[in-house]
Amino acid sequence: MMARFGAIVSSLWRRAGGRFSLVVLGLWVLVSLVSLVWTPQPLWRTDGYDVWAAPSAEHWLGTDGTGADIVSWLMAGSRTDLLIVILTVLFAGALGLLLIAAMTARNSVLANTSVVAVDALISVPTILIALILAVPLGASVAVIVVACGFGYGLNLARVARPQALLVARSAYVESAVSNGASGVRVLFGHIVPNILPVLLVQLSLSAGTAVLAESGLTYLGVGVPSGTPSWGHSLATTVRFITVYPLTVLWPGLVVTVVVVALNLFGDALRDAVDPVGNPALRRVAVEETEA
Amino acid sequence: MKNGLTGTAQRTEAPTGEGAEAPGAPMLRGAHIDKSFGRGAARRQVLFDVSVDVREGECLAVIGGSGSGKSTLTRILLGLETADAGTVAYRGAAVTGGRRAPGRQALRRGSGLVFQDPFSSLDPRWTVARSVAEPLRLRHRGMPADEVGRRVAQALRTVGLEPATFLGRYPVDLSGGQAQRVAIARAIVNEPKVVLADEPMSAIDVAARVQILDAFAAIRDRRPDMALIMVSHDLGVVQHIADRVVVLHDGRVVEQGPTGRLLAAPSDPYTRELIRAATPFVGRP
Repeated sequence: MMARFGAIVSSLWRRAGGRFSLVVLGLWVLVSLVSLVWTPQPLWRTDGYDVWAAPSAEHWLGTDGTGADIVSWLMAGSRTDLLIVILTVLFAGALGLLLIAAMTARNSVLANTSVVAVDALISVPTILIALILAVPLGASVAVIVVACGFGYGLNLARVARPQALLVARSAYVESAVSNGASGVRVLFGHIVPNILPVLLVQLSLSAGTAVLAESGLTYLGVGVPSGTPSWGHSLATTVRFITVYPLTVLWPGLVVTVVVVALNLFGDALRDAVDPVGNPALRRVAVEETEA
Repeated sequence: MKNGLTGTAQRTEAPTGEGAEAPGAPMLRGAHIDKSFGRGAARRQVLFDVSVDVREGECLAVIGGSGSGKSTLTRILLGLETADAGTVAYRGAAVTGGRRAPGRQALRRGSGLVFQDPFSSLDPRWTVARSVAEPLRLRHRGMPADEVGRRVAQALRTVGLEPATFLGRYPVDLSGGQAQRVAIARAIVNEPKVVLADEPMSAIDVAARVQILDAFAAIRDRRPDMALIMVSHDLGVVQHIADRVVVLHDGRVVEQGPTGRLLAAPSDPYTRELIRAATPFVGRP
């Protein structure tokens, strides 16, 4: 098991995109953890005489319009965005797999109905879902997670369906079914491993889009509630002053851009690294394990 | 010269003599099977009142041209497709009549499948060990890992593959012949009573076909009670391995009988045409 994990990590590290994404995502997780116990300035320390301050030794990236330390808020915000990304990917992945199972079911009524339902629901914009959800829930992380997870889950199912159908109708699945394999076993034993490359790329794109959506929905007032640090919150509170204090918008914008690029590259690199068909190192490990 | 097919090594003479029926009680019996595909104007009947028996320990070859209904018939016999009319019985218990048919589960448990394309019949993301072990894990949930490993290794050896070399490989690292032998090992690892091989040699090169034939011969030597249903275009292969032959033409059985007799003295014009067409390609040293 450890040998396989090592082969995957070393494959990721060999690619420039994989290296970049590992470093960025590793830093993201590290900063999120560190921010739980330490930030350069206390989060709620504001100084009315020190608003829109330029970068300095005291405030590494300057301060915003309330005098709050930008780098401290970005560090604390990384936690919220990490939580949003993880929950959105889990929600989208679970919904996507559920829909894939329905769309590839042997029961043709269930399969056809779910295909039509996905095609109909996928036309509903994520923002509209978020606005509707915000009515009962108010601005909250749950609105972002559910709205984005719903939209991305539908998209995932639609994109992965052709590949999943090929697997579901394959001779090896027929062999498994004739030996008594259940639908769940076929889904997780054969379909998921064979559509994993598509899933990983789609989910990494969803993760990146969730970061962007958090910024957009928070700017619209239906995302992260006021007072909760997030990268979207940092952007929303400074973007109106972009022509006067461009640096205060640049920092959160840069963080969001770098993380989204890293997530996209990570999906591509991970797809190649975890797939034994495309990664000879993984296949070598399997042979060595057998010989041992 | 009887028919030009007698030059190849053969295992086809019925033990009870030329022209006699193969031994063993009927294990699988299909009677008056009709099957259509499509609806309305596109509806096309592919099988017409087909009756066929498969006996314990025999190798039954189903031959015929493309679209003659060979694969459909064998899939119906193994309960993988449903017939529109007619019955299929396994050891006397009905296989047709829905999922709860008494013979259906017994047949599923007692059958193995070998498909035409070896690469599409193996999960590309599973190792050989995992693929071959799958029927054991599905049919014998509590079987200890050691026992699973032992039986997987034994199945691989039976088809001429060294377990130490092949267990950890993925299909992408196998040749066509090796992949097909892995698929055969998967089909026999559960020690089934009947194996369906649907044109198992049509997608692999000629040299590898010999290995496949050897693998089937080894299996039949080891499991003399196991029935083998082989769908094939290749009369050379049929002559080499089959005890009995069923000839299908446009969804109807035009002739059936022991391999030696049927190939030496075909009574139906279509069978004669098939043999005449195959003659230039078989029987050469």
